[in-house]
Amino acid sequence: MNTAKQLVAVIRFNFMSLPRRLSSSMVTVSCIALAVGVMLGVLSLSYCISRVIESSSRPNRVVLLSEGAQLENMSAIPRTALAAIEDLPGIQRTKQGAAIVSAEVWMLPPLRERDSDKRAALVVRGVGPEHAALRPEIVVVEGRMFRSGLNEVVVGRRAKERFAGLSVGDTTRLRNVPFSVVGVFESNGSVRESEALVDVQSLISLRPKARYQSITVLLDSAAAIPEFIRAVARNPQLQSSALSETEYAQRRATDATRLMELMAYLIGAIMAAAATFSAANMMFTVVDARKTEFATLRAIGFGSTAIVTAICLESALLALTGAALGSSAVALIVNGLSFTSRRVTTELRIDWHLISIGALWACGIAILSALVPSIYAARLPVATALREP
Amino acid sequence: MKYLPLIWAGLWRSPTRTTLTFLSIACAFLLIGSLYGINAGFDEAIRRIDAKRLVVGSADWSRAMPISYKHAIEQLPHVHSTMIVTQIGGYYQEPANLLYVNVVGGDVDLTVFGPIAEAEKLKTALASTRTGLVVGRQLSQQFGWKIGDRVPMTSGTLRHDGSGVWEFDVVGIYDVPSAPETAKFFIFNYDYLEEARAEGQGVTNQLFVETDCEQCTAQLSRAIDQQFATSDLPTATVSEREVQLAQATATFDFRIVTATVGIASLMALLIVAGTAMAQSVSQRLAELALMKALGFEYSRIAGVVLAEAMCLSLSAAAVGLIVATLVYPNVAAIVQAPQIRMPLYAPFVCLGLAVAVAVLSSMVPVTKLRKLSVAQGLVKQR
Repeated sequence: MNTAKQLVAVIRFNFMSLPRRLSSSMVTVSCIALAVGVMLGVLSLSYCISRVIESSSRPNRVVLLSEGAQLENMSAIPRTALAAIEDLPGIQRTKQGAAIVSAEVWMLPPLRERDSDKRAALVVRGVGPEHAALRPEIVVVEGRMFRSGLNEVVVGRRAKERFAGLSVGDTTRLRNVPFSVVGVFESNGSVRESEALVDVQSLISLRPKARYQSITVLLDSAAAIPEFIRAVARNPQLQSSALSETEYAQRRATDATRLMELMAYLIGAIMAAAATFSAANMMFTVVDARKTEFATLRAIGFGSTAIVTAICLESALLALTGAALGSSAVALIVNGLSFTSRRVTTELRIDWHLISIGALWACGIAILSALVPSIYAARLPVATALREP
Repeated sequence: MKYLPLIWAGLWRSPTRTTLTFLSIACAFLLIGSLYGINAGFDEAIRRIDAKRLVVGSADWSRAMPISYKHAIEQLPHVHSTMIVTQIGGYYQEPANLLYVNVVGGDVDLTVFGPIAEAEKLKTALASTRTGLVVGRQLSQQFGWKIGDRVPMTSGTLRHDGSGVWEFDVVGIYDVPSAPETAKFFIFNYDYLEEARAEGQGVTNQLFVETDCEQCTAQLSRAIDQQFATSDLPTATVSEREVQLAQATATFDFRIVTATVGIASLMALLIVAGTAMAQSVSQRLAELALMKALGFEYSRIAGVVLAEAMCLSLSAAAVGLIVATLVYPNVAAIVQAPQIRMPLYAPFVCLGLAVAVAVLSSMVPVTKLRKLSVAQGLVKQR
């Protein structure tokens, strides 16, 4: 008999006897389910936040920040630099010839959170006149867009859900000046939905000395990016540096989620270690109880490889069952919950990417825990194993 | 005592199982101990903060308050002292060397920057030199500053002569004995800033208000906000505790995470310890039945099983908790709160959990033993 045929036979044999070992298998399955479930739950926080941040970027958009600033909140570009930036090469233009650029100023008015009644800051982003062409993904789903020159604001769907008093028709105050909420927008679930948009000129009239937090530019194509970045770097009067929006989104996502991701993997690793020890314990018990069976198999000519592989496969199957249970349980608990970190709100969702990470961990636990017991079973001298009760 | 050899023999009957169970319990307690320790550490840190201090800030975070607010607040009842704290951007020599610049005035109390040693002495030194500068030990070591040095700082806040370079005389270096890594502020006099800055005089980002009556903080905080509610720039007053709490949960509230993870690991622990005990008992059912036949009372036999579970669970938990205590500073650094310490009671609460796990895990086998007749037990061996 060749190894493949032997393997199939041992696997069949193993599975037929599985119901007899139901309780010990259940222990392994539930430990792995708990370990995988917890890790996915914690990991989903950072994963969903970074997915939302990264989905807001487009390959041919470029962000300018003031020199040395890592993120928008540390950046301040002099307003006089805008005209020179609009003349840089590679910028897409409207039919009327205006550069598709949005020079933006923030305000962070403190509002009350709907659920907790706590004060938290909403990012109110003042955007330039060509904003619609720059970010076509923004779609007004309720009410209408703000009119330039008026004190009107449109709010993102997530922001409206998170804060009280941001429904269409409500009035909110910036520096004690009333702004009416005229619309609600969506943008493919991206980070913009946690913000509100107004005409940048309205914010500048409130803060006459404000500098731009950032300037976002639409280029003809992604290929024009390196040349544009060099052009910005060559002109010291701009006092700014440029980077692709994709790169900026990654930087922002790392900043917001590094801590959470580290925690998820640390907690996951310790729980996985505990699960490995307990799964190995179960495997030892099973192998010990069945050593006569394995010895009999080897006595009639089955090879060690087939036995080791079959035991590992059985363990992997149990682990995957555990992973499936754990991921579905955690999906039932967290799916649809909303979560906010660094002023970005997202809806948690356990998707296939996360599930596959969980399955991978479970397989790792399974192989690690089954390897030593199965080698022990395969190397036990046949005569000894058969003689002992 | 005479049962000790029996318990010991029971534990080492199957060394592989005992070792593996021990390791998985130790891992679980490493996790539970660390998470609980972090939560308890935060609670302790927040409890230690002076309850008598309030922080007044502008409700619109991008705007500073006029200094006249200080005088208005001083008129309110139960206000003991008010201190000006405002921040400006600044760096040393090159932009990468960013400084945490705090400008202080009014009734200065340097302990708002942490549990600083010799705060009174430093305050006097700062007050006696207009261009005086007090820096944290960390910062002074980073740039090699000593008392008496003249230190330039470059800022976006310009002086009357249009220059952004400010010069200071180092008059004090402060230490935070309980958390040395937090000593990195750059602190100078508000009067100097006011005199020399070209624009934006007469404003501050924060006012620290100390009350003489610990029970009145909530009432005083409402009174302050009410006073300015209808003005152009309303205030948001919170206790210093609330500020710290908000900072601790700035990225996300890991209390929920730690609680959920803790409960899940406890469940896993119960499953693991429970099966280990069940296996251990069923393996030597015949022996236990023999003990019954020899006249051992049920309670004695149950005691032996329980003691075995206790030994395993407590020793493994102790190892896990010792490791958790050793790695605590690293975990605290990961959650970005290097200043917190593990309270002494935290490991003991976790040991209590280990006792509970032992009791619960031996419950099923012990009830099984009760129903077991001697004959059944002896037969089952075959």
